[in-house]
Amino acid sequence: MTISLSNISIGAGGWSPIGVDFGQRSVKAAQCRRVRGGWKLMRAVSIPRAERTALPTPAECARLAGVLYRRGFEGTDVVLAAPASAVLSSIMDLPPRGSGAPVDTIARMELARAHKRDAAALEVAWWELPDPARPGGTRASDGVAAMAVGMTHEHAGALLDAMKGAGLNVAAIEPLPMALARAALPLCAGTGGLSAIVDVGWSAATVSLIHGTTLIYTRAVEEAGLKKFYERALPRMGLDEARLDRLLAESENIKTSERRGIDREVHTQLEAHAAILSRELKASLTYAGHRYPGVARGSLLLVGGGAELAGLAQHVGAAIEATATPVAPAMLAAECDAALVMRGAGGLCGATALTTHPGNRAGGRAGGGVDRHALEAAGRAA
Amino acid sequence: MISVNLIPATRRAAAASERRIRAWGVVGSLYALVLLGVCAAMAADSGEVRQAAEAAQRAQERLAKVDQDLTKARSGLNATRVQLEAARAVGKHPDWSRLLGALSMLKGERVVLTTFELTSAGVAPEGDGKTDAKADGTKSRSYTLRVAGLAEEAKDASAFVAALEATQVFDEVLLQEAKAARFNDRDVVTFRVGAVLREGREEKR
Repeated sequence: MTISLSNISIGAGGWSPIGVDFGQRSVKAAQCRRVRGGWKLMRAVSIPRAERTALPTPAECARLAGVLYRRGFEGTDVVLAAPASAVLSSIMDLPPRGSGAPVDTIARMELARAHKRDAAALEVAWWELPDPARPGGTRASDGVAAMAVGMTHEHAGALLDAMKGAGLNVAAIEPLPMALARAALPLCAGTGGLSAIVDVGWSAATVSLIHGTTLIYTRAVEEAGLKKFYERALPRMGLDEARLDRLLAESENIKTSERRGIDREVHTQLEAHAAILSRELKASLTYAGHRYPGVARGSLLLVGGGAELAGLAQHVGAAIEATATPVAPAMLAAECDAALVMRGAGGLCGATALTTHPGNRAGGRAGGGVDRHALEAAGRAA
Repeated sequence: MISVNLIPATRRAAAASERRIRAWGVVGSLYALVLLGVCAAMAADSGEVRQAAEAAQRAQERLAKVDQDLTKARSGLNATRVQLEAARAVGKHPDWSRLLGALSMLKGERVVLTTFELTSAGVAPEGDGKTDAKADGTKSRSYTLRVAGLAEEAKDASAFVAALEATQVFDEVLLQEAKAARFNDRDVVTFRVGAVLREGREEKR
């Protein structure tokens, strides 16, 4: 039995569901526990993926279950990040809810039409966007602006089956921008205006814009993903991926002659990458500025594995004339286990954000049910 | 801030149904366990009842046997009482030798007794019959004594009767017959005396 408090659904022992973010390069998992005054990030782990596919394989899920057990995660309920490549999103005009029109069906049909998919095979969620202010206070139509996200049943079914086969119970599948926007809201609060969250991931960088408390825009930019950065940098530097990983992770205080040369090249590549990211971010902010004229800019948060790359935040902040703040998982919870306060943990932000999902209330049981024995069984099976 | 769940509705419904089934399964199992416990308790109770019934049956059988034994004992007691009464009747009677000795002394030298008959007259009210014999503990059995004999003269027979009366052992002494007769070529008087003797007369004294 679970009860929902605040944003996070909690189970016995006050544990949140396990947030699981399957990236193309690694899978990240995190779990929080209710403490006095809020939530404490208790467990977090990042595991390199054996196969860089969009959807996890059953073997990977089984391996994940084993790691979760060994690393002390509690329960088997997980909230999964919807793979970016499988998420369909669109901004649309819908009839008002009180009009009597089948708004949900219309949203589904509209999203399916926009992405040329079968509407019957789509799971769709949508929410109203704040009224875009227009000159003279007029509206483009009598309807409401809405943002819809969806995922095909085929993709969702593959995820669910793979996780179920590993003994993990998927309480929810949520697009990562939505979870990040919800979890990072306290960091944006007080700044007002239009805040941006840039998730610098492996396969793509995702730009999400928040107006007040509503996610109004999201866009994945493959060109700004770390994968493209590596593809550009590695041939020029004559290094392999693992070596570049180590160089990026090592302390900046190590200054050998070789390192200095490499650092210059890394710096050059990072500048180029930051320029691409800044360009895309500017385009998104320009779009939002047009849609919501007069709204001041709020926070700029960088999350994801690439958020803490040396100088990236400074380059992006300078390009858009705002302060870019790299976000660590510890910042998304009231407290954090000391072992998880470390540099380079930005990739765990997504998983940490997923733990704030309130669970599947409509389906009955909210996530976060703690069953150590079930997780143990799943780990043994793995 | 809203949250989104892209799990297909059919899957969610199936999962919810599965959870409900699991929950009902747990509830059903608990119910079955409780039912089993109740049945076990009832079975244990019925076993105790059966044992108690068997014990009661055994007790009744024992009671019936005791009743039979009691009946037998009562009949035996009755027989024993009868025997005891008979033994008392036989064993507790007057010492008639003393009466005979007294008669021998009272008759003197001039009287000869030929017949001595003592018969029991049964139970009769003692004395004037106004008092309850059982209440004052006296015996009410009476005896009739008939004595016949020869006296040299009629006055000798009368003296013998007077001597009997003088003893105050008898309630009444009656000279029933006195007549002259010949015995061994001598004139004698034959006589018959009747007397009534009641038990307890001496005890009253």
